[in-house]
Amino acid sequence: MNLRQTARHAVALALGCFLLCLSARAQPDAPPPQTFTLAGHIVNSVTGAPVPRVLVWLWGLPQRAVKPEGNPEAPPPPVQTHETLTDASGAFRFEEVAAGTWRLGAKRPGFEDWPEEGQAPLDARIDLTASREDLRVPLRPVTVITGRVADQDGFPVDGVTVQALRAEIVDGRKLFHAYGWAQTDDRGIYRLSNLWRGPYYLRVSGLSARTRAVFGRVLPSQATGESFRPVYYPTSPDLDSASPVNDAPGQELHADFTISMQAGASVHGVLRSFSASQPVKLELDNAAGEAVPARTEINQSTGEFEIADVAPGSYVVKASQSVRDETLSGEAPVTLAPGGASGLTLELAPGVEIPCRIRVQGQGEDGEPAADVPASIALEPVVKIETAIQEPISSQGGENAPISLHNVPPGKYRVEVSTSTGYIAQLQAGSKDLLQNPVLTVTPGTAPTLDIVIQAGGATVSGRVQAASGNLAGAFIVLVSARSPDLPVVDAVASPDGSFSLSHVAPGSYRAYAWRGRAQLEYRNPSAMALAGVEGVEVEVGSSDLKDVHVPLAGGSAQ
Amino acid sequence: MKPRSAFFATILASLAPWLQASPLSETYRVAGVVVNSTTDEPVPKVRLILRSPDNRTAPEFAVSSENGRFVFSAVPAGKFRLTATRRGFASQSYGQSNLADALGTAVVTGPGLDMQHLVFRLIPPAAISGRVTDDHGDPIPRGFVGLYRDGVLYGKRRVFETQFTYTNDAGEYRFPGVGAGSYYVAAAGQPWYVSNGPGIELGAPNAGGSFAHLGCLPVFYPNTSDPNAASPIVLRPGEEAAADLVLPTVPGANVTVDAGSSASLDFTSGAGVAQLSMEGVGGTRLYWPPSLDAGIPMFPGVPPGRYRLSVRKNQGSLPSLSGWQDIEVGSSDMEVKLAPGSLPSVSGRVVIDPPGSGSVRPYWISLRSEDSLFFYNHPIGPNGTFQLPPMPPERFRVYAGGSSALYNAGVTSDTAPVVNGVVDLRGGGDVQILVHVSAEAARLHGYALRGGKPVPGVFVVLAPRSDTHDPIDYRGFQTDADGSYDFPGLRPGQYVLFAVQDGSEFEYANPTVLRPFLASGQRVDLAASATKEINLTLPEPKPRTATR
Repeated sequence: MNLRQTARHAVALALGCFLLCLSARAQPDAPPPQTFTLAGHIVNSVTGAPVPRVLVWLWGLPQRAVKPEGNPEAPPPPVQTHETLTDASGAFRFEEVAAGTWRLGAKRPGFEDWPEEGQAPLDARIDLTASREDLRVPLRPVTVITGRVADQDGFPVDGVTVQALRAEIVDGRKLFHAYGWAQTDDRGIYRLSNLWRGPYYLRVSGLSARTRAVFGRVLPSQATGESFRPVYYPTSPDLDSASPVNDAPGQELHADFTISMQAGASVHGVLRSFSASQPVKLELDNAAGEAVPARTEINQSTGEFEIADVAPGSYVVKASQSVRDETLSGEAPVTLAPGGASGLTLELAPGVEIPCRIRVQGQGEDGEPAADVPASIALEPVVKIETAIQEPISSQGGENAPISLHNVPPGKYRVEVSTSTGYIAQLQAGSKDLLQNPVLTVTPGTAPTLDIVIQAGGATVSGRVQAASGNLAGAFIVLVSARSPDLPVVDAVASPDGSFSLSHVAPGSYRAYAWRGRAQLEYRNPSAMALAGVEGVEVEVGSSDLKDVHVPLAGGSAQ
Repeated sequence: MKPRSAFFATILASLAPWLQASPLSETYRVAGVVVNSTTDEPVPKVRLILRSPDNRTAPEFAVSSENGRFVFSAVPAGKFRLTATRRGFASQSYGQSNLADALGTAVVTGPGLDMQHLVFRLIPPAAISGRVTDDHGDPIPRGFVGLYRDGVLYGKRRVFETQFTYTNDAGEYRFPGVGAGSYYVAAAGQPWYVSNGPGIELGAPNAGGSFAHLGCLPVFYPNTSDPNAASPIVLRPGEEAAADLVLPTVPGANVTVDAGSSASLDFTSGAGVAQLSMEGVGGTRLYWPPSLDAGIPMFPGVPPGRYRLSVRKNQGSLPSLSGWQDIEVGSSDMEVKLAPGSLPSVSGRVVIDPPGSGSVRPYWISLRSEDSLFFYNHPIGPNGTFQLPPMPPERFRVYAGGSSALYNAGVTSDTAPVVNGVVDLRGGGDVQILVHVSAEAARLHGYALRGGKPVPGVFVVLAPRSDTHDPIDYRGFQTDADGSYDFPGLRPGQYVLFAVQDGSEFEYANPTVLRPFLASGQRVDLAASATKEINLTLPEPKPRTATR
């Protein structure tokens, strides 16, 4: 779900709650409502300038439309709307609006149609009991990034992909989400529009295209013999050393790229165990795990394929196909020399079945041997750049309910097991200890059983978030394992006085962090935490409960 | 070398045993100069790619020097496709005279052939770009813009859609890489405050608000809503044309589609698609950008007029269910019940005559619609059978392709009407067809000569003397660099052979256009399994009339 979808869902949710509230407040035999005027201006939140031709709307329930109490059979009252466009001075005016509770919306291309924090009254609730003509509604302009991609000779390069990536911290990890992409046109020009608040990293990579299917005896080569390596703005070869484009809402930013065309090589191989009559998707990932767009082609009569014009290096070739509601996939590593690579064989197969065996040990709270403890198991795909929401493959079960994870395609996954009444004492995939490193590489064929041992109980760590001042309600506390920051964390939310309690904590060494606000902490990256000056506090957890742990609030005082 | 039209290029792509490299171990130089076709100036830094059509050898690459010169120093004997790419130019073939068609001239290496003085005339691409706005100057984002060429397709002149695109957030569009010729541009869209664009739910304000019935009139360049009043944009190579379009805001009606529940169409995910279109220039269609209201297809503010509404359910990249209905939109909102029906299911077998024709076999089955530009290729199993995904309910010509030793002798079916070789799938249902191919194909090849010398790059046409109504019987071939032409896989029969200087706009499958050539061309009778070599002698070019 992207930001806009989230916003729309939030709108739907807000409306639902709002209608419920109104229903609860409904009064029988309400007097005829009064009407009022609601007027104001739309302004650019950055420049303060008025914005003409903005669609402004009011939506909600006037008092007279509220469903009378005691008549549950009555149809739900309609949501009413008023709409207008602002005039040349950015002014809008709604006359004869019934008294009631309304919400105000505004949108125009080039502006975000969801409010910034504290940007009332956009989407704010307006209790209309008197005329108001003084509304000032700021709209935040979006960012547009345009530019030109040229080769080392200054010639425009067409058909290359430019992605806008935004760094996000999810569960203490930084990942990059592709928020927009564009292809250069014949002049080498691209335009990334409607970018919401950034900053953004820009990536230029190869031609993005569907896998071309041909039939017959031959596979006509698509190679042109030249390629380039992905470039991150401004001139970096990888994401880690890239700089974001400065965020400047309302401005059209310009970011030109020069890419160095070099000799390109092609991968040739044969696909096996595929359906000749269904489309095949061929993809290439580089050594950093990033998808490298490339021209791919398959002869569906013979299975021969070509991935054309790739810079020499190490890659993973991936193939997939949907056949009768089943996804077949296969992958193979390839080292591409300047002369190309050939003879690669890719076998397509259904995803593997990963059986899971759960064992519970220890005593329950009643002192008796622990009963069956339900656990949920999820395989989260490990990606560096998220181009689409990838749902984890998950299942739930327990000691007496053996489970399997079905049709798991080859790839790298982070194994996450959670339970509400204990901690994970052991997590093994064959001989691999996933409590040392929870990343599981699934290869075609068969996969080892996941052995999970749940220890009932565990220690309780309680204490207080320390801050110079302020309300600490909603502050987050997290315990990160000193053994590996990749392991599942234990977290909680503080009470207003800063107190917290974390239960079912496994014995071991941890570092505890606390923070609050919208910004997230990259707590799984010790060097990023050190760079941000967030030290946290060391916590040693034994088999018994730990009390009075004091965790400093990152950034000092609460907001 | 390339046969006329992309369709025949597909059909004939592997009909190339004569293109195999010679067993001789000698190599030859292929060299020349790249010049701009409009200025004759040399073009440096052009990437040239030499490919053998049967892919037996890896492509070879060269880059033109500062004076436009290029060289491939060690090329085996054979026929090769030479293409050029340069940033700012569209990829094109040697001998191509227009970017709008696929004709090219093959480079031929071998004893006595001079391939060291090639002149690759690189054609600068034309482009059409512009901005689509409403009558208040606001951009129409995600508006549909179609580009329609008035040119020759499948050997006959017609107006056909060559590209379409959607406008960006600023209402801008661009059609790059356009060949010289005559084009129509048309756009349809909705005001930004009414539409939320493809696949996105209409927002709350439009559900019943005061703008809910506003729409835009579709517009044909230069800003007319009447397709008959549209003017073509005539482009020469390298020209940039600007075509801004202003769509007047008008009251319209909301057209909602009720696709019924039986088809369980999910329009939100794109598995279900609803399309609204109106007739454009020359029988082409102009489409509305799709939009949804609470998951239901809804076209807001459709101006009064006659439209075609269609729905389909996609399975992969092909439809599995489909239906359409012509509607008359007036001033009132409409809900159109349009449940898509099952599409025809086609399966069958290829019958090779005479039986036991060795290892010769076709590789794919091609269906080409007689009613639209739809065509589809599907692999044939080793046992000669095929099971196609659901096909549109249209009339199709069916061909088996992939072998130059075969010709298509006809199609029969017990379950669908077949008229003049056209299978009618409009009745739907399970259709079984037999595709008859014959291993007794004839072949005609030779050279185009003028004054005893080979003439490369002329368009040789082989047409049946009596109209067969089957476009595959009409063949065109742009002669290779050694002046040769080749027509394999021919149906035995009576033909006429002639050549014209430029094939790019020649209606080689139009009997009316061909009529004068039936008398002046060379008569050729081809028996089953016959191979004939005929050298076509071209008249000396007429001397130019002196002008003052």
